[in-house]
Amino acid sequence: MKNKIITGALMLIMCSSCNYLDIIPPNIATIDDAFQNETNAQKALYTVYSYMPKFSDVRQNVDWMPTDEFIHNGDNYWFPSINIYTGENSSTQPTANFWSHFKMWRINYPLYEGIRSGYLFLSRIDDVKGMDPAKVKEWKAEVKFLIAYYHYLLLRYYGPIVLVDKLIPLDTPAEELFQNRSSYDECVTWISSHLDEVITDLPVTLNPSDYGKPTQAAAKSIKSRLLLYAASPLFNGNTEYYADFKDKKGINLINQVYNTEKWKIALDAATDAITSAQTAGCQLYSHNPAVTDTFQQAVNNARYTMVDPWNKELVWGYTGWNEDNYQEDSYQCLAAPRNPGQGGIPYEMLAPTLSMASMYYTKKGLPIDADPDFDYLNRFTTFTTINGEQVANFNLNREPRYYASIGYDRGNYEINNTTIQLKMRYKEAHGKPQTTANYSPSGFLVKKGVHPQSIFESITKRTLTKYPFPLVRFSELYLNYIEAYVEYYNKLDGQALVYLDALRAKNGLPKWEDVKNMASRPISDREVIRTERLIELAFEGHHFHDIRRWKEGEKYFNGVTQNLDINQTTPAKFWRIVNTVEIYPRIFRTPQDYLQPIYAEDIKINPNLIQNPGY
Amino acid sequence: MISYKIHQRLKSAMILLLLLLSFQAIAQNTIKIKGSVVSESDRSPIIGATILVKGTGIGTVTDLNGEYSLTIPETAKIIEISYLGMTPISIPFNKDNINTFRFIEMRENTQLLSDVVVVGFGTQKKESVIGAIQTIKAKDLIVPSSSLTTAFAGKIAGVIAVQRSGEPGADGASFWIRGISTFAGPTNPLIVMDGIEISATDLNTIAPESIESFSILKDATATALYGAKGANGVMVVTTKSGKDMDKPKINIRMEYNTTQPTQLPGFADGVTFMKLYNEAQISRNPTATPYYSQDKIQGTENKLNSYIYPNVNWYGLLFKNSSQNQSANLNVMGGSKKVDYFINAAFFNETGMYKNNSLNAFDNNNINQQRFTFQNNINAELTKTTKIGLRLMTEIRNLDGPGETSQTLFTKAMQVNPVEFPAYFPTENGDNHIYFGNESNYGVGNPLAMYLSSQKNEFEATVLSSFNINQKLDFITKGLSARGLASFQYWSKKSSVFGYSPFFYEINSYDPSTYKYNLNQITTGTESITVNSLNYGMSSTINLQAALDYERTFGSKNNVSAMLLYHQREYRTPTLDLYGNLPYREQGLAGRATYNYDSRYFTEVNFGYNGSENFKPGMQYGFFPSIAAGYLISNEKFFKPLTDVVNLLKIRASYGLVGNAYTSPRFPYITEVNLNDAARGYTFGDQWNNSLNGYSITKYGQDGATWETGKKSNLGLELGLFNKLTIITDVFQEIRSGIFMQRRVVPTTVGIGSALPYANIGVVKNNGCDISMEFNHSFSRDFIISLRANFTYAANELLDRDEPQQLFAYQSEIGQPLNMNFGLIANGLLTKQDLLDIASGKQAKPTFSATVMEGDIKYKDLNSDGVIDNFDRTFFGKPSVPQTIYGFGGSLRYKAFDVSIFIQGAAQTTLMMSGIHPFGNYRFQIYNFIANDHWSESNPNPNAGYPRLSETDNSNNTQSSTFWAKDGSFLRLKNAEVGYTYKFMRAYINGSNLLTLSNFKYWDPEVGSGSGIAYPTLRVLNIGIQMTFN
Repeated sequence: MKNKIITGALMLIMCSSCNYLDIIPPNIATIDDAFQNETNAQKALYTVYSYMPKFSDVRQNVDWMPTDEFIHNGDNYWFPSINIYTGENSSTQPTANFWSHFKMWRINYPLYEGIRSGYLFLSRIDDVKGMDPAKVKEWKAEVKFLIAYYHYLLLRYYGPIVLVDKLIPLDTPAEELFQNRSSYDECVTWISSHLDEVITDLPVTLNPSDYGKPTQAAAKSIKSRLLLYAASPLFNGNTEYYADFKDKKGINLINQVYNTEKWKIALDAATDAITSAQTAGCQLYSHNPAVTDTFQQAVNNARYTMVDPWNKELVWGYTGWNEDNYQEDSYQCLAAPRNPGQGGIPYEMLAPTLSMASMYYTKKGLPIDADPDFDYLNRFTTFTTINGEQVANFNLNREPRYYASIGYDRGNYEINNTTIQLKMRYKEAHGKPQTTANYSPSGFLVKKGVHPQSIFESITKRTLTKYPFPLVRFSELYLNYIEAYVEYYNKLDGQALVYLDALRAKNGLPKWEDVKNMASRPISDREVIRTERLIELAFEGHHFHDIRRWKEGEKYFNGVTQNLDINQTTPAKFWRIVNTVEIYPRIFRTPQDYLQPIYAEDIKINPNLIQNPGY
Repeated sequence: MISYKIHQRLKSAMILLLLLLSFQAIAQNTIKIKGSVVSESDRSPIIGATILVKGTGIGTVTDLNGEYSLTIPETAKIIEISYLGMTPISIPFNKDNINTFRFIEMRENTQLLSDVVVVGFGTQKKESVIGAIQTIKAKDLIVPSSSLTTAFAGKIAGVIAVQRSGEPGADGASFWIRGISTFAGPTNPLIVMDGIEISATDLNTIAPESIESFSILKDATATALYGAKGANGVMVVTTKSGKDMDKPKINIRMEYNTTQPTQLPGFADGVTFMKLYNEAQISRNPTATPYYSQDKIQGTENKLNSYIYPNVNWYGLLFKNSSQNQSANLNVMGGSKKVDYFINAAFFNETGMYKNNSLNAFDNNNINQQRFTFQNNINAELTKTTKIGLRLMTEIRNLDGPGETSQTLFTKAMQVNPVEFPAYFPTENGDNHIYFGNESNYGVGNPLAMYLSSQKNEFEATVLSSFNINQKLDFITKGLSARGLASFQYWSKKSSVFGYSPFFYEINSYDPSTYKYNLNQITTGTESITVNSLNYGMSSTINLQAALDYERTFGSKNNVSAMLLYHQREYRTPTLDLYGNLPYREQGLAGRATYNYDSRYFTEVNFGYNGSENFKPGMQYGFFPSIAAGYLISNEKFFKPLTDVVNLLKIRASYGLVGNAYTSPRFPYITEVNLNDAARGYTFGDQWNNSLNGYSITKYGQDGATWETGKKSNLGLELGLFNKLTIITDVFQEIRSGIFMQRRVVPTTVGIGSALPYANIGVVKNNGCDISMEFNHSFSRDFIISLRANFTYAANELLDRDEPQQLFAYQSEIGQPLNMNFGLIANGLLTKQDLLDIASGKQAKPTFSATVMEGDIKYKDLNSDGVIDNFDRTFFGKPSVPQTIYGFGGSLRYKAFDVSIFIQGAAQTTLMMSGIHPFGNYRFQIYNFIANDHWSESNPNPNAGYPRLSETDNSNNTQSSTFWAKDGSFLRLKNAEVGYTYKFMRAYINGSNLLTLSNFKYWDPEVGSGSGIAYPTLRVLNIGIQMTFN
């Protein structure tokens, strides 16, 4: 009897409230909704793009700041990436993390998440209802490109990486889940073949509303750069640094035998990229309206190449981050000359180094220490009076790119849609002030990258002229070609010389063959092509990688920086060169600073990961 | 119910018998004694107590008011007073001590068999309890505090409790039953009042006088019934009910107390501050120009002008040294045979430590909190077999106080240095606003302005009502009954802040000869008051329970009982978040079966079968069984000869599973997606105008997610000696496994980022023991002493937390207790020789700051890699939650006086100092202990208490390290009380936190880790009066 009652009562209770605990409404958002229709699928596509590093954000673009090009008057709050050149980059506190979600100080781009979002997109896009098959194909190509490109970025910072070739299920058994790093060459082959796979499906040109997306030429250009890097000394038979850089099975992660043929592969890829870019209408930039003064025309060419939006030099421009919105993070706001008597924007907190200013050629197109007409020894001590102002001879008779890129005391600076004269000495309009901390520590200002039509007149009159950050510029393809050619054939002639002279012509310099023999010291083919590359691509985030792949880190990224004596008021004293012991000294540790550290947490999670040498 | 009936019958029989006996005694030379008999614990009258002249038949019983009157022979030697459930008393009689019979107190006899203990969803006879259950008398919970939980520490074996703050409205203690056994989710126990789950906040508001019983359920056999909610232990509170009595009994208690901070950190005066600031600057950079000029220092020292040379005691401006509180409690208990009632009304008025200020725009900006708690319990007998009851508790709380939080105000008042700017300037130009001082580049602000410029009003109300019904079902089978309960709880809170925005001024220039100054207005404020913010919160809870109970004795020795209970609960609180807005629900069955043979051998089986809405359908229910056995040796026949010495000996053991169903986030099986995530958007287009937001997966669902399970085992021993001393000892172990957490070992190349899936992975072991001892002895009728001591030790150990493979074994948290300290091992301060050794590479190079100097902290290079970095951190010390809490004390009653003291201690805990570093970014104040004992060029003491000063935080020295780890154990005189009883009145003075002994001297050790800057714990001095009327 008792049992019956209990059972009865129980039945009653349980049945009357069978669904008592099921409270989740049926229509909550799920991942299926992200691929429900074309509108949502397009958002999913943009999601894959959202993992692109913020190249135009000067504080978060690792390539841009921590090099020989810039000196900063700001600590690592302003310029988080400078820890990369202070010898403080470590596996417990990497300056930047491209690998995982673990938050570093400021710079965190979890590219493997981007790769996963790409594979998720590919696994779902075919099921989206009502999509135009052509569009599906196009989007898939973009996503596949991004998967390859994100691998490429990882490779660029870390060397050998873990290759992810599919959407990894979360229940994958441990032995497959905990992947090893593949060797550098395997990575290059993998990325290269993945780029090849998508190139034909990518568009040749874009509608203006799609500007910022990759094209065939962009993909071929990235491939060209990938293969150029792969042929370079850091990664091609580097027995010096990486003999012991092996995975747990003892396989070398960076090849130990130099292979010249890699230059040939790079050369072919460069040829291919040039053809493709030309097909899309790319060519060397020429500023409009043209002026008759060829020197001034060349200055204008150089001044506007980077900042003239969507010009023909631009093979692939970055649009993902809008410089307008975040003014502390804007290169132009940080680099432009101060408004006399005003604090705040523009900050004038980053400046070109003296060594960068010295790298530009003379007007003859020779290095300043190799041009017999340039008084190299007395360049800082002799002055020429121009319009009643004393200008150091260092600044005179230089190539057009110098005037387009470097602002110097009593030189001009094109800004606010006008031209101002820079006064860089102590307590002068643009010099070190007595009170505020915002001033150029080198005595120079950078013009390249600051648009002459950007307005910084006052807090209320401030308008940035935006431009897409150049991810690939047509000039680079010529430079890729030239370098591969010279390294492969061991001579500078033929098409390489044609391309070199085309670049020189654009920049108002005589043909190389015409001046080469005038040099007061021998200049090797390698020197001329490397210097050309460093000057042409300066302030665009290339030095960071080029100098590393050439194994020249200690030469360019180490030691005390020399600056003008910015605490002086007279020209003679101002142009004295002083060693600046910066708050952040430049220390380049070989070999560890050639590659970025993988965050220690990632290594702990996956013991199969081998840390980069030195960390 | 059964015992109630027996009482009634016995009482009638006794009265009759004694009336007969008393007739015989009339012939002798007699004397009349009269008085009343009350219960010692709550001073309620004892009805039907027997008063008997020893060795004679002369006696009587107390009436319904507990009063008696008895004529006895003058030759009587000893009067004996007895009552069922109370310890019998024998009082020697002579003609001169008649007065001692006016007022007789009886003490409950805790060893008596009929005593009842509240257990999960029911009650059990005390002797048959074989779970680890600790009860505490409601009286012991009466302390001069408005928060009940502050009474816990050291008073309840098995409870670890610490009170971190004394702020009115926020002074409840943190408490854990048997320490902490999980690193996920809540670690605090389930609290059940009259069968209904309540929060710790609700618990704090219960008036101790309305508590009938308070039980702590510790082991699996006691908590398994609560299934998926019982793993952290359960506290069961039962409120009082009325009784069948002739006249209602009224009890009044009124208290007035004054509070003071126990121990506050001290800070340097303005002149010392400036000198030390300059020292810090010069110490790091000998060529620096001192920030504070000699003129400023001297001007301040000589008090030349309080506006130009300010020296502000911010703390003194904002705070006073004491605050006053009042409380009153009134309860009435009464009833008849059919209906009984209990009514309790409690009132608290508390004020904070803030000082009134004549400048104030508000009348009074001090914290002022009023709280009313009303309890009303009514029971009615509908038929012989049916009883219904209604319990109602309401709480209303109103708090006025400063708009800024106390934490902010204490922090600012202690941090802002005295010389930065004056608190305010005299108002000029006939303005209507206060001229607060400030400085354009000073990012912290003026503490006085923060305090004065806004006011907060908080209003909170809670209603908890429950209806219950009891039906005897003896007509179905003997011993069967059913009961049901429905309850509703509603909580709401409103908080509004209103104020003005202050005007700030700084001195622009001044004339050094006349000290006339010109002011510059830095910030233009507002003169009128506006509402700054308004917040609401509310929640509702509905509980339903239905149960069948069965209890019967077969063949006089086989005692059987069983219970089966169904319960469901829904909790809702409106939020803007989809998942948070869904109701929290649970549903389950709980069952218990007990069997004992002849009150010697006991066994018990309990189970909980629970469901939670939190898990995937099909995974919602879990089964949590437990078994226990006990042996009451002292009830054996062979033990009888020993019972004069050992009156109680019981051993018991239990084992079972209990769960913890809370998971954060909710619904771990659901994959959550944000379909409109701006952070995952992108922009294209020649004009940057083709933008779309993207999606993000914020959580990966885990189908198999479920609760964590504790496997609890317990071994207990209960020992009673000489009928005076009771010792209860329990040792326990718990393995909590399946602790719900986010995976940590998923390779980041998988690409799911921080949305790592959740899983039931963690394992924590917790073991320890708790001991309680109680000793009662009456030396004479007038001299009673009772002593008690409690000891709780609980040590946990992390066994699994999906820890990545550490590169260095000493960095593994596996095997460490929870809440441990992680940091560098300090090795004194760097000497000149150390610096030479660092330079030459003989000693590890510190990397946390660009440079180190003599007098900075030296660290051990644990991995011997030549640098001091994050790989040199390890675990050290003891956990931040004490592993040991103990308390002991006693009370002594001599005639009308009573004295009691209670001492409480905490041990095996480490306190980490952090955020104490002087100057910071805004020239913050310097603690006295740093000012007095730091390394300096003039006093290069390598054992100084603080390293070389620095102007801003020196990142070498501010690292978490053993240098900042201090022993946090303490021993304090927690309560002391002196009382005097006159008739039905008792007046008393008591105090809490009167004296503290600790190795840690800088602030009250109970406040714990951090900077010591917080609303302090309080020392309370209290006077009270208590009256009982019949």
